[in-house]
Amino acid sequence: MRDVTCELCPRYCTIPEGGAGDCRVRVNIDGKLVATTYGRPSSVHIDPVEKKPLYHFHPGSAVFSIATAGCNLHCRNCQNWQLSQRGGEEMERIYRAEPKDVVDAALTENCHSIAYTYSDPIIFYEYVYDTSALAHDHGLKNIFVTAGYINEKPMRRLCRVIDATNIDLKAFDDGFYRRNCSGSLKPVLDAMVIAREEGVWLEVTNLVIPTLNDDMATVRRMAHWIRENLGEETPLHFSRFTPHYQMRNLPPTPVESLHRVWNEARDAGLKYVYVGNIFGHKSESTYCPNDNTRLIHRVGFSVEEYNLTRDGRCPVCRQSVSGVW
Amino acid sequence: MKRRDIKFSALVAVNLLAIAGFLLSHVGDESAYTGWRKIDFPALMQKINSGDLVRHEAEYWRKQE
Repeated sequence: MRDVTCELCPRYCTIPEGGAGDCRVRVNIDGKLVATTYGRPSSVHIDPVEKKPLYHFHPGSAVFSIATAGCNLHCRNCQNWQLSQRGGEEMERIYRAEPKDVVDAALTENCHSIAYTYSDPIIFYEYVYDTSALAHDHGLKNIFVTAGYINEKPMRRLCRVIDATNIDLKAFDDGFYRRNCSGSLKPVLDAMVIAREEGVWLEVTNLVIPTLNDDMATVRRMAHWIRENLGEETPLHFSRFTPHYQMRNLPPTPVESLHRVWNEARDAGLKYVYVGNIFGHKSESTYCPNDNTRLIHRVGFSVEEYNLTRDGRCPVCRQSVSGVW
Repeated sequence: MKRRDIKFSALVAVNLLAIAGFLLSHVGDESAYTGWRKIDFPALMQKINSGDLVRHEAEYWRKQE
């Protein structure tokens, strides 16, 4: 018996020899826990930073984005389930890209940052950490796009090398996490607070799913929690659900629902609330919280107009806008 | 009550008990993915031996006592 216990995420999987953690890619081989996808991404793309989504972090910049197989959550509506719900041995496409190769490629492609994204990068933690440290040495920034289901110690350590994160708050409801993601809410809230405490630029995404997490009382509680614990200047992205994977029984989120949750979050005092996945919607753009001047005009993932001053202020009233510009 | 009715009632009761037992056995089972997973270990080792996957030692783990 040479079982090991993984302490990276709140699952604390105890894994017998020859078995994998719940994430499928951290495997017990000969009594040691092995990260089998280190340096072996299965998805590599160049995206605009707006796609992460990050709206207050170097708008319009290009991001070299990587992901390996596996995930420590199992969301019924996962958009990337072909990647996230498989182990490395099940993947047809695996690239060989050590941290140095990723950094070199990002520099060659004139990217401003590297994003660890698509599946949940928590499960390829060591690869993220080493690549991020090397990226910093070469003047690149690091973006961690995650559901935030991670333990405190590894999260705090990771924050040393991460510049920005978008954390997917799937619902302000523990029951939702248990029923639809096989996770729980509290570790996610803790991860967001840690990111804020450690000085990582944080934006929050909430996918609005009809009948499952779109009731106004829950949205109101979520917005108040964000304001109280992360600050009123934390950008919140409401994203439109479209049917995927094991959740094809529900319709796409009605636009009216997104308007309602947007209003609710603004009423709760959040200054930067966005609506995503609706092409050309006016709430894709950034407005001055003081005089409502349009500061960044976005259409889809494209920045059409940029009016912030160099030091991140409204050009009309000089109101400072939180972000990394 | 006729003998036939008693048998029928017993059959219904047994069915209800079976359904209740099934439902109760799944209470708190929403996180059915906890723990660990069996994987195709020979396929994994094949990928590791060919260099498609690796044996990079992970961080944040301990041996089980």
